[in-house]
Amino acid sequence: MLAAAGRHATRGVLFFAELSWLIVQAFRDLLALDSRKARAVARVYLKQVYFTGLEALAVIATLFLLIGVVVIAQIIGLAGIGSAGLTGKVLVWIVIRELGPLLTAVIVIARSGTAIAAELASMKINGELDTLESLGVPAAQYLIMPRIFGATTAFLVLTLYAEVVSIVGGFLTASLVWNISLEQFSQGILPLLTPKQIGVSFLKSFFFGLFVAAACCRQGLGVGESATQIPQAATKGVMQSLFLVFFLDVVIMAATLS
Amino acid sequence: MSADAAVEFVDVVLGQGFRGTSRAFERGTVSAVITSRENENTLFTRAVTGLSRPESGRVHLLGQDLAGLSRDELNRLRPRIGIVKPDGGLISNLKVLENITLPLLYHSELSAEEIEDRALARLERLGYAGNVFELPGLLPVYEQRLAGLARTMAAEPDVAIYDRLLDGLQEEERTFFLRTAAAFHGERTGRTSIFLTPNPGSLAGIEGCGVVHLRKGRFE
Repeated sequence: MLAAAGRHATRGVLFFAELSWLIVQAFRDLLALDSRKARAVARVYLKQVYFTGLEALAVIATLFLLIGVVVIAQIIGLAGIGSAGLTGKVLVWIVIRELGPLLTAVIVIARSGTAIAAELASMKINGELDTLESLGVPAAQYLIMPRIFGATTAFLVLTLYAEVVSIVGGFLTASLVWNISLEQFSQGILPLLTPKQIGVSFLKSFFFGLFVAAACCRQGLGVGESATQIPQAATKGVMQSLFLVFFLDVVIMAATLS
Repeated sequence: MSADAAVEFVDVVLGQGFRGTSRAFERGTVSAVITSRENENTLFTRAVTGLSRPESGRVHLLGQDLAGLSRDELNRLRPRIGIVKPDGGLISNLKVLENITLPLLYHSELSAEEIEDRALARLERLGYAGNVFELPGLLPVYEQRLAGLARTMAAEPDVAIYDRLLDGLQEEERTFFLRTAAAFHGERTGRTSIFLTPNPGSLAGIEGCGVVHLRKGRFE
């Protein structure tokens, strides 16, 4: 049993190292871009930002508006109207530090992670990666790198957007239901909304974006020759991404807790 | 190594397709390679572009030994060779126009506008009647092949390889592709054209073409 656990842990470490290497390669490919290549790569990057970021805005807005409403209602219901300090603490610690990056990641994985893995798998099975290479267009620089950075950009923007929307939702609920003024509400939140708290949220989104995109790219590129492997790649990409997000969440939380 | 060869196989052993065989395709010539199976065409193009490395022997492209080139050097050499595949070899998530402009955007000094103009001019020359903003998966095979040919023509390669370009077409379409490929060949001094097909009948009408068979892994 101990040996099995050891093997499992070794596989996990190797998997993490492989993804880290893919991300390092993406940074190297980014630095190797000249202005000509950048024209072509920028199009892939912008498409990825559009599909991952812009198209998810409506879902994120609705979800986080509701989360803001629920969280604020629960806190006031629990601690009473005069509990501005606790309201701020819970909103900042739960929504900004945890739920913002985490739930955004779950939505992005469900929408875009599957799409990235399935698209790349399909391209590989149809020989399109070889076609690109035969045109002198390296698949890693043209397909992988812009997807990793496009998804990461979208993660950052969506998380910021999600957090703003949830705070707005919380304020609207507090204001409409309990007549709490903007001044009272912001007094509870602003002192706690320090650069460190925002930085933690930013850090999580950044690493979630890099690793989720890398995991899905890796799964997409890992298929063989059968079309039945396309949905398998998508499923594995999602499962690995979810695991990574929770794992990274714990690591970053532990590193920034003090 | 032959100084005049655009593509040269020297004692190449690679999978089932090449079993220690040699052949030089001279610069400026038109050749046809009659293969015994379709997958030999793929292996031929993979070997010439350096995507598959021979188990032994050497492949030279435009005077360079592919085995001695780094990834970056290979990527700089590959745009000098154009390959037209039976389905056009298009990228499924790029629109037709994007497919044609991609290699030029990546490698040429031309502005994006000039590249688009060139791509549209090639499509017009080929009489492409489809929507250039369509994804290739929605096009009939003939139009996919036209788009693939337009991409190769826009890139102005030194070596053009036509993988089953003339196969499975109506006689009128076949004649059109044949004339277009012949005209394109003559537009640049030293351009080398190689037709790959397992179907010798499709080559009828090619003028001044050296025919070579690839049988049991050997050029004959």
